[in-house]
Amino acid sequence: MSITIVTSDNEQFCVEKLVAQRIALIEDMVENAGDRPIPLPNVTASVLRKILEYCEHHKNDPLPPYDDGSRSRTTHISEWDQKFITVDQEMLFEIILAANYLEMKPLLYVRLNVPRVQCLTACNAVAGDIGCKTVANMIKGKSPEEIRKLFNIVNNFTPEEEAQIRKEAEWAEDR
Amino acid sequence: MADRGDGGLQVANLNRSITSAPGPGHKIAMKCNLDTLPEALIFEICNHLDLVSLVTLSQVNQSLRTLSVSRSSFWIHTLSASGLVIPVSEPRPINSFTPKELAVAAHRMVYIESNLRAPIPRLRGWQKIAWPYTPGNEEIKDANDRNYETPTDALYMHLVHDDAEWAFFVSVHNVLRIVHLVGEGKISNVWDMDKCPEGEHSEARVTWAVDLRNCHEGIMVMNCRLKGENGFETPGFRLLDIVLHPETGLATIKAIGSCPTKGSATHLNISREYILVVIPSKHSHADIGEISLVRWSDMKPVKIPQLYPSIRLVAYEEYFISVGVSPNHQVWVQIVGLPPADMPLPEDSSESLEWLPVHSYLLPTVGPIWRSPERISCRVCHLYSGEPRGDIHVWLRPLHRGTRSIYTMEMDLDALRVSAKRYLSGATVQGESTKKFFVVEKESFRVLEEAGLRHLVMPAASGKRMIWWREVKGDPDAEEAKPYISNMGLLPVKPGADNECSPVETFQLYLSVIEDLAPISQIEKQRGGERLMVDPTNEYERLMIDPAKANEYSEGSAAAIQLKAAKRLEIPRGLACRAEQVYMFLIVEWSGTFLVQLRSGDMWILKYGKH
Repeated sequence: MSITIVTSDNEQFCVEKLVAQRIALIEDMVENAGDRPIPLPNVTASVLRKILEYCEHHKNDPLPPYDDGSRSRTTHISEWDQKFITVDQEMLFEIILAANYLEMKPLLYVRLNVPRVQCLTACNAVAGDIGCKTVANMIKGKSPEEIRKLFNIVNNFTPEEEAQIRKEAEWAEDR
Repeated sequence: MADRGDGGLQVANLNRSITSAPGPGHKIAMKCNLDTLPEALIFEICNHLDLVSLVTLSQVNQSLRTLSVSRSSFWIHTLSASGLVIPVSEPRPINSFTPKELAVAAHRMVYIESNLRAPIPRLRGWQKIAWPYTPGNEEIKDANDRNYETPTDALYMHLVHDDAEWAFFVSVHNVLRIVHLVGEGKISNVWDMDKCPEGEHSEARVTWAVDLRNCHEGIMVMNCRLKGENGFETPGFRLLDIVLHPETGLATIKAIGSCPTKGSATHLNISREYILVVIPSKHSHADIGEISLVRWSDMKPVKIPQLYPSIRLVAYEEYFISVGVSPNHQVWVQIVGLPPADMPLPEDSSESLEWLPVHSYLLPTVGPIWRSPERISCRVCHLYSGEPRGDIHVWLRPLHRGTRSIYTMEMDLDALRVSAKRYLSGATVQGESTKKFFVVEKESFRVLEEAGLRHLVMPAASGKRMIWWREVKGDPDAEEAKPYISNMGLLPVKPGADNECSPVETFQLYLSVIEDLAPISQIEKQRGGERLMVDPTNEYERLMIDPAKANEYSEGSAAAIQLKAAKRLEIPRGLACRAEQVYMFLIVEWSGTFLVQLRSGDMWILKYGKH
């Protein structure tokens, strides 16, 4: 059985239901949509294509255990995921945002009767996991200037703020 | 979000537009970048960062900095997951501190860790406090004079304040001395009200604990003798209110209560409004005893769930942890949740708290422990953060051997809280137990005993690292020794100039992180195959490694890995020749301070953190 998804740029995707159900938002919408196409107004075709590629690869994976955010996490990324997420920065952040919007992988938590608020927290945490891990790995070991350069971020500190940061660091280090 | 810049407001709008799911055809017009992601996603990225990277991220631009000083979520996960001592001012849940306080703590930790993890941790400052310590005023001088004790008697037991500015010493005669460790150091106060009469101290137990509520105030509990109505003395404990005055370097001590006990306690501890007491039973070894709880407000004993006799007891804000031995000589770690502060207790709780939730963890100890439960000793290393889960490291040392087994268990504080609240709200259903049992499958790490050490390896409070020292003959001016000897300040080694000073370098201070040790599986696999020494005097197998034979250990073997993990710290030149006199040493991770106490009473305070 398959369902049809329409992206923000009006591209239609015919997706196997098992694959689509890895996406929580779609799982929620399928029941109400009937045979009608499901609109995803905040996701472009290029991003959805990547996300469906991920869902297809992981469609038979067990759903992750409930995570209340308190356990320590690793930054290990599997080889396939590593290749999957090797995209330009713009796409990387679009994937993270889209995964956040799509509330991916919440099914287990709903079935476990975890309260919705906890469920959403967990979903958001899991959804962007691979993307967030990738960004974290990009940040590790770099200086503030290197991070700015890597992500094209402008150093908008005023001289006073720069001085304040230095002062706080000194205070923290030598009370 | 109000204090964020334009970028922050844009993020907020973007977030709303996504979750409200506008109609078909709508596109996210704005490109997103690291600093303009929704907060929840930035925090998710933060959760995957180590402490150094997180501090660096907070210094990238206005938006990220604002987030770091306005939202605790920026820091909490990484700080608590680090497993390190978080240098905050009070022992309360980490989420109760402001983002700015957490930011400062993170900076401090990075400053300390970057040094302690360097190939040669550098000495950033040191001081020597010479014995006899100077009394803070005439009254203290009188008290100190009338309680004259030798240094090793006077400094029998110790506790050092987190910021290493104060130390508490209790003598073998049960005399408390508080010492201000700033400058040349001075005695801040002496408490001798509970001094053991001459000749009786061997029969009395010197047991005490201090609960420092913040930087300058604390409650102390210590063993004492109380006069009963019939005029006879009975054992008991006394509560002292302690206030430290940093501006004068003095301390005030006031007795605020006392309570008789069935015997002289082996362990005392304080957790919020409860005092924990361990009294040895008549038939057990002196170091094992039954735990009892006394409510501070009325000094009334309160019944608690049945627990195994305890060999080690530590208390925190919301729970206490006991390491106990079962009748069949199994070793159990038992975590007991205390009544929640925000819920009223039932009327019948005035005498009984037997419903308190207990999580019991069975340790996979084998061998001699089964036959000699009274001869094991242990340390519980755990940092209270108030977070739902946290690690407990138990360092077990069977039969007083030097080898230490480290067991790690993840405690579920949320489950303890929920269990207590369900009971108190009457939600508990029939058959629902507040007691849970777990099994720890294997050791996490093992520290192999090192041959020739006079002192045991000491675990730090976090349980994640250990310190020890070696005595090695050598010239402090030799090229290989120079990187480890700091010439800052005075007190150079002058062979022959000081009778107490040997002409050779003998004291070397070391630090290791347990994660750098060989995996247990590798140690087990190499048993017998490795050229480890076996002590023939011990009836049980006693494996040791010998640093003098480091070249004989194969590359990658457990012994080679442990020796390689050892970092030798830079120490002051004047301390390098004092190995003969070392009496006690410890690490205060909060401030990156090491304290080395000599038999002469001299104290060397070595600062690897703040300077």
